[in-house]
Amino acid sequence: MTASLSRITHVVWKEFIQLSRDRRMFGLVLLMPVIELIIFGYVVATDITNIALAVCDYDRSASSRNYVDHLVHSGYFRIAAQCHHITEANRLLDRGVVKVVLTIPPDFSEKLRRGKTAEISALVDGSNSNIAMIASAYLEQITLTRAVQVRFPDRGAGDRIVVHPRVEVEPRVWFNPELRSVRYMVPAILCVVLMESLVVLTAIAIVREKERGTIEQIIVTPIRAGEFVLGKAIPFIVIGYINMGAVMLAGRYWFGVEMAGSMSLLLSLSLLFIMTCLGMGLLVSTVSNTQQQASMLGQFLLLPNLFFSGFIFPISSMPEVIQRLTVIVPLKYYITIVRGIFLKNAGWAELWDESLVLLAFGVVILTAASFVFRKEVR
Amino acid sequence: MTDLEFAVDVRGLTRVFDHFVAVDHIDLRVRRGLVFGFLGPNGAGKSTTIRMLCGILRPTAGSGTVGGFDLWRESEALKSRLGYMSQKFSLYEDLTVEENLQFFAGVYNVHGSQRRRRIAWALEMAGLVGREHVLTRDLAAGWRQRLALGCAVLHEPPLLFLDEPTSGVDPLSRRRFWEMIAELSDRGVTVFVTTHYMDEAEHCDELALIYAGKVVACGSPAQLKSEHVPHALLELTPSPLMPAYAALKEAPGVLGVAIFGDRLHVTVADADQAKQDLPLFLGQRGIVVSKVDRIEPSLEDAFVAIIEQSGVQER
Repeated sequence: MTASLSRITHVVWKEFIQLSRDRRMFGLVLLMPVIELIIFGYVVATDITNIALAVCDYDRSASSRNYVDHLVHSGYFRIAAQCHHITEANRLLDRGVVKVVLTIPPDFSEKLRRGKTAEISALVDGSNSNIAMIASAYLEQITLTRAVQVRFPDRGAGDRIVVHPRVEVEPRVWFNPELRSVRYMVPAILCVVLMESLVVLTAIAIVREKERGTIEQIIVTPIRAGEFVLGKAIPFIVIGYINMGAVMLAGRYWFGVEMAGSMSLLLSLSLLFIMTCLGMGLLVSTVSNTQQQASMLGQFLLLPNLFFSGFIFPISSMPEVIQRLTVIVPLKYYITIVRGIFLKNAGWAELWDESLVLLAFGVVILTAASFVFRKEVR
Repeated sequence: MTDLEFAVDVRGLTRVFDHFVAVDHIDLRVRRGLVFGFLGPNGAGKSTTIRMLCGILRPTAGSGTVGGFDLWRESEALKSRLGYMSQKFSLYEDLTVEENLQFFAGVYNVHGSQRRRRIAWALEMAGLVGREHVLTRDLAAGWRQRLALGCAVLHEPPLLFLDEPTSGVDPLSRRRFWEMIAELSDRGVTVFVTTHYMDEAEHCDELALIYAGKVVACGSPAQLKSEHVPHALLELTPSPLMPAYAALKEAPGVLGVAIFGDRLHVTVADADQAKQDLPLFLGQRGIVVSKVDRIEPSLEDAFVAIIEQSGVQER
């Protein structure tokens, strides 16, 4: 047991020395996560602000102006044009100057005053379906607080008629009250960063020994395959945690996103995912002969995880067949766990089922990988 | 292992790679304490054999023991009792000399004062004292080989496998390396070494010749030469050379002629008779012979003769 521990320690020590000698790689490994956070934080941000709005106010009352002001104050819309006639506004929409045309009918204030549901019509440019969806959602969200009904005429991608109850609804978005996508992205990037450093870097580190022939010398020593793999993996687990810390710090101080839940729960549940990642890295290393192959294959494994985990695209908006397929994507469960802890202060009671699935994934993949690896080194 | 007669004792060792028979039912017996040379051209199956004996490669068939441990069931236990140096340099090039030694001492479970003593010894033996902090990739090939040997014997294994240890090394370093092997052998270590250098094979106590995956001969260098080269060999220095070469092919009592530089090696049935006859025979044809000597056949002569006699086809 002590001999085994000592051998593992020697591999860890050796691995850290080699990492520190490869300055360029070392810098990349440590900087990459923060750079990724910044890129995703800004670029993939699904918040859309300053949507250009053309307003066609036929009512011209205090309440209609009040309503438009309310939209502008939300920060999501800006008035690009005040039109006197709908055709003028429509032309702006066709030319792409504005994304939304809002028509307020002449009886708007009258209806509100009489306590009826007032109707407004919104034309949304559907050429960018993403923006159209979000713009109409914002519009509904903001309008909900008033007794106003938004009617989307049959045009563009955002066509939908929403009938709101007469009663005043006060929607509350929980956990992410400002609906900021960065809040949503930071925990997800945390997961992706951990996965990258574990799958790709571990695989490369093992394959490098194959490529350079150093594994021959290792095989004839009394070190066991498991000890060797663990020794190689520990530095990358450490780096994975350091990267998580860096992303959390950058999220906190750059984007102002703070974690709501328990740090110790996050770190311990991460271990379950780490098992899965190590298994994948090990599998990649057994089928690769060169570092390039390992790197390519690792990325290839990462892609479906990125796409089908809800990292960028919400699973609920995927076709149903694909939704069912996401059951076998380990990252999905981990992202759910981390987002839960991060945004909702979720605890064991909420996360036990995802955790168990991850544990099962970890055990199965790691066992299979060790089996294949042990067979391969002989 | 001290009461063991054979450090390696395997029968029918075979390895097939996708229908290619790399090693074909070979039997090997290596007496404990000897320097055993495993000689053969590239691709004959030397590395495959040594890798099977070390437990790196699983044999397709065969049985026996290495270091007294069963080839199949006890390869893990064997690992702490053997040292191995692969054909390709396989230490960590981005670690320093000392870091490599420390690392391998660690994975071989050599600790404390024993580790300090062994590392000091390895540095001394390899002539690397003062270069402890040099990165291994910056060492010349000869130093690297010696360091690799040092790392392979840190745990004082009684059995050492060296796979073409001197390939790509300058002659001086080769000689130095063989001195290290002799020193280890003096301490009782059994050394199993593969090579395709005939001059290195002469340093071995016993040899096995492998050709096209089969062991075609075994024995000491002297035995191989005397048993497999039954005819005598004369070395002549004639002038001019080429007419002498052509004429000797037709001469009575001559079995073969080969050119070695400005000399001819002539295989004859009766050395004493030929020593008198051949200068006369050439003299009649206007060729002057300045020197005739009976020479010992080299291992190379023996190897050529053995392969011709064995009937094994080149592949």
